[in-house]
Amino acid sequence: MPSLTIDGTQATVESGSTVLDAAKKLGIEIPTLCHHEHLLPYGACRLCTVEITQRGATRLQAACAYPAEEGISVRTNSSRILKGRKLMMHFLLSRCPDVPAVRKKAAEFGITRPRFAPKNEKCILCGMCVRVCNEVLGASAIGFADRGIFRRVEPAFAQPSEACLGCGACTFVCPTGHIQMESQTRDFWRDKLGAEQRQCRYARMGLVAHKVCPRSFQCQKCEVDQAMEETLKTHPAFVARPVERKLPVTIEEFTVMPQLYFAKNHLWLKRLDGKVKVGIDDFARKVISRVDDIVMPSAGDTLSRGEAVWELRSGGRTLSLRTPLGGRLIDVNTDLLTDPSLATKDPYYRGWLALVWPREEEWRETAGRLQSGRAAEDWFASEAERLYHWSEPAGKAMAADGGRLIPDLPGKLSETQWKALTGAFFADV
Amino acid sequence: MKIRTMNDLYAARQAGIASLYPAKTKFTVSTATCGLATGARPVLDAVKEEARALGADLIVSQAGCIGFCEVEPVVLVYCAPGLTLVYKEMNAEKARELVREIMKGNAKSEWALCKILVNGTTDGKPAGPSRETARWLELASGIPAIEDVGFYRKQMKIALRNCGFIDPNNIEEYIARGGYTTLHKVLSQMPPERVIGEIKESGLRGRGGAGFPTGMKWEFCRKAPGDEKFIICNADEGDPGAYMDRSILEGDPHSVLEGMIMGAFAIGASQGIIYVRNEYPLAIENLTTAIRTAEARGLLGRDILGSGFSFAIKLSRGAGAFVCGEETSLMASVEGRTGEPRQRPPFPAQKGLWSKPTNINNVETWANVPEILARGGKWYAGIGSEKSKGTKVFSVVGKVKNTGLVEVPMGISLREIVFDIGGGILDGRKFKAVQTGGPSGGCIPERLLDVPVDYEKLTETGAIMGSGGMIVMDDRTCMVDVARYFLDFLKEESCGKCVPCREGIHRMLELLENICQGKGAEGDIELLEDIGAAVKDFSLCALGGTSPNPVLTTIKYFRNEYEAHIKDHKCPAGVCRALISYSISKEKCTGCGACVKVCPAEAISGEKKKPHALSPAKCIKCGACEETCKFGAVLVT
Amino acid sequence: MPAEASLPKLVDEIVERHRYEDYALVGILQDLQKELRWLPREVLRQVADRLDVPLSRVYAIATFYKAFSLKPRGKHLMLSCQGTACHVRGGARILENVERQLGVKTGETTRDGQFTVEKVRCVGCCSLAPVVMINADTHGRLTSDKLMKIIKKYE
Repeated sequence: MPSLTIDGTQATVESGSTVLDAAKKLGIEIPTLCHHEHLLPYGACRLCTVEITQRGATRLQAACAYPAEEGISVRTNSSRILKGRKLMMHFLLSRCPDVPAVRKKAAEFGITRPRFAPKNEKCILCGMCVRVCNEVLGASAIGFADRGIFRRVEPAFAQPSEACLGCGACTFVCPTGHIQMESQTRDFWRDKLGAEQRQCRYARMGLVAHKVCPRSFQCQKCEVDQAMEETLKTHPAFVARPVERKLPVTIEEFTVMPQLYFAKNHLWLKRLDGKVKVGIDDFARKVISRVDDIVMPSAGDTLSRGEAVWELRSGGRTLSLRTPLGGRLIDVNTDLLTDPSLATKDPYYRGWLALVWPREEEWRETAGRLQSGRAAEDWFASEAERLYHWSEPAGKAMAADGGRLIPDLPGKLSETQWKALTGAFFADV
Repeated sequence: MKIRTMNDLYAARQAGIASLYPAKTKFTVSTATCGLATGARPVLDAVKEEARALGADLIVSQAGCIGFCEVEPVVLVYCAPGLTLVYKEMNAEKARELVREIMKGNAKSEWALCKILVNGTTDGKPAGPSRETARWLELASGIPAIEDVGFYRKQMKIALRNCGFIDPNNIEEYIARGGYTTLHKVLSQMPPERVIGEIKESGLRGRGGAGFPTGMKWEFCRKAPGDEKFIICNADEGDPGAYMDRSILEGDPHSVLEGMIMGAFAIGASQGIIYVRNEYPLAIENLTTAIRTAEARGLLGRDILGSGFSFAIKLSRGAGAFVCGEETSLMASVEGRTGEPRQRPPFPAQKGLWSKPTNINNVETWANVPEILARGGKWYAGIGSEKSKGTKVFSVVGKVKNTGLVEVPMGISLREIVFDIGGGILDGRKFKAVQTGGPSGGCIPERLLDVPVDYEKLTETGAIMGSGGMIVMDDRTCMVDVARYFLDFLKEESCGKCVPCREGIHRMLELLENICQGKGAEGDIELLEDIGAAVKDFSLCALGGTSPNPVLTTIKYFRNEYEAHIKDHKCPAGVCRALISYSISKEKCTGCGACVKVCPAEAISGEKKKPHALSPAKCIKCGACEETCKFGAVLVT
Repeated sequence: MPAEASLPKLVDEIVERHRYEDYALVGILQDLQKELRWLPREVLRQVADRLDVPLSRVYAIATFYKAFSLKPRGKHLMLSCQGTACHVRGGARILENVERQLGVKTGETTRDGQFTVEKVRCVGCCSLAPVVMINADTHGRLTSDKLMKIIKKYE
């Protein structure tokens, strides 16, 4: 637990805290505008700028994003800081002279009138709407457009977004009232969906199983909706956190990606417009530990399902993998030729193995044998169980110790033992 | 064929020497972007055609830029063992004649810029001077040696060592000049710690602008825990007025690749990325060829030079965003996102590309690395000033006679660069300032011209070393307008994320626009200083943090110009339109009518051969007449 | 520019060339911009769909980087360099001249679809300032007079 000094007072905080967290703990107030407790540090408004002294050097940094490191000394109220903050506030008020929240904040700094030519904007570009939509909803329906003085917040092409859940979290977090659920968006939803499909936002966020909206998405006028919001005491998005449906899940010690399909021999598949990307899953990665050589077919080859096409080598052992999917191999990951260990360093992303183009019926047939979503999680759990209790026929070697996989397994098993292990977990497609 | 042993390298080197220093006459046309823009393509075609027409037994080759862009298109003629004659300001017609004359044994001295006699020790040992060399030296006796040409006299080429002299698409010519030979030594004999040690000893500092010690940066990255590490070459040369990186990438791409491989080995990286501006099509083309060739020859990819070390390089193209020169934005861009910077720490050496330890250096830094490791850190540290070692490349441009790329030892004075190398100010006008460091830098006035080129000393002036742009300004350059210009540039180049940069730049720009229009008010200068100080302090990244520099330095050194605009409503340099007017001098005007033709507003009238008159009411102050008049008859007041 | 019907095919080809890597987004849009000279909405939608990334991210990139255009560009792209060396040697005047001669403002395309005029921050040809780049050709040491002749060559 790092300990630091803020305005002369010592504080010990949990590791991972920011300077702003530490100041809060000490009851020292630092002004913020773009900070939100449920969102990642962003550091755009710069109101929380403080002086940080570390190893004799003093720098100005945003308290909201600066880690509370051991031994640093923080000043939150030097005249340099106060003068700069005041100017930042002038910038904001001159940008949005008519926004009550900005006026109120400015008043705290003793500023009542814009110092520069007013821009009459409504938005201070704090990014909270964009961030909540991305970090909490996982929808990314709105984003930033353009840059510099032309930067703005909008959905793509400034048109209602199909990715929008209509949850209203952006409106909820917006400090200036700039973001409104426009009637346009509601109309878009209403026109797009038949009456039966008009799911209540609570259903869309996964908080209730199924509920049809009776109010044309006028949630403020919906008694049920408002009652629920009252009970939750915050916006439902922060309770539901729909983004988690898209985030990796850890099953025992294995990472499972929710949007991928998994084959029985621990390869993942991702369908991209008819073509399918294939790579090894985290289970295979942990078992093989670190690939130091790889044999791959060449792009252009035709693969048939069940054919052994990849050989991953590690610690003198080889893991032979069959393809769960037949089709034309349109590309292979040539990065693996320079650095085969990429397959184990980043198995779900940059370490993919192949891009296969199956015929439609081939895909349909294969897909039936693949696991995904909740079923994949259950399957990983059972595979983990099986692995933890696995021992080779003679019963001498095991793969796990104390409920965790033994590191650098390939180097620790004999050839026979390794064959037995891979036969048990990687043979079947 | 893959190069795996010292013998293989030797064979490649022999092939390179044969093509660099052939037994026949060789014409080399500089076809870098600056050459092409002045007509190198027709020159190249003309040389080829004339050689064919004459049935002459000569070789025609291409190379990058020799730095003296002012005299492009340039043709190099290798006429005898060890001797190269350099011809300037060529065109197709002259090129044809040159071929004829050379083949006749005439040196055509009046067209020559200089001669280069290679002494064989610094230059890959070509065939030594022969009787033929002596004969041509006699013929070329009227041509000055390169060391005696003002533009080159004080230069010392390390980063630019090969530019203009080798065919960038011929890896063997690079090897002939010592290329990849040091790599072999590094991979086979030097442990990574020693490589870092040499770089540390050399005192090399980042040439991209901030000047962080390169060896230390490498060490941080080497020591950072991580199963995967990256090397990045920042080739997003963004500072307007700086183009040394383009020249190196176009003229000597392998020097950058070799430097990166060495760095990767030292740090323990397996993948490198070159982030290059999309506005540099030729650099992209030559780099692509260089990477492909290096791969084919076993100098990139798996098991480089049979050492067991593997490293690959990929190109990532920028898409028109100045902020992507900032390292955290650059990495965001490589990851396929918008180029928005993020707070440091964590620094890239801890958490960089894909959150893995990453080392970023710019093109010029990488190009220096092979030469430092070839000749030793101590050698490099012997060049330059106390805290700034080695050489630095500058692009000397603007209102100066000899524009071009110059590489000079650190510690040389600005005056020497502008006057001795640059040849002084154009049209005999008066020097006013030199701008260094692009939008992050500042304008240095005449009284500080003796300041040595050194990271600390330049920072003391309020400017910065930056990536090496040096824009020379004369008394017809308005310093308020220059400050306004940089902010106008930055208002769209800022990513717009943080308040001080986005709003502060805009507010400073508004003030400067008003001043330039004669609408400035008392107190504006002080307000600019206040905003500048806060934007420096509060910005998220270096783009914002350095953005007030052009404003603050012009106020510091040219406050009287600001005051003239605000109090007297005058632009002393005659630039700010709202504050100037044009007229025609009755004495100087010859009535040639050239100005009438170019005037878009039909504001000038007069009889032929009699002094013309300009109607102030119609004049839109575009300056076309002034630019066109050959007699200096258009007056600006 | 390819015919309407082959547009989706082109997008697929380019996305496939980049191996469906979402981190190649900037490169993918560059290749498309090069082929089409602009990025129509349906193209951006298709890219987002094929890479399985949010459309807002594709849109943010397409508007953030200035190499991309969301409006059709003319047959010739004229980039007027506004680097510092060009500025002190009259780059702004050259740009005004271009605007006047072609009858468009910066960022616009001539009515006949021949030219689009844009400014660029520096093309690295500072020794030849002022400079304009037309398509891939760089023209240096410009004067108003010289520029008129050059424009005529492209018409």
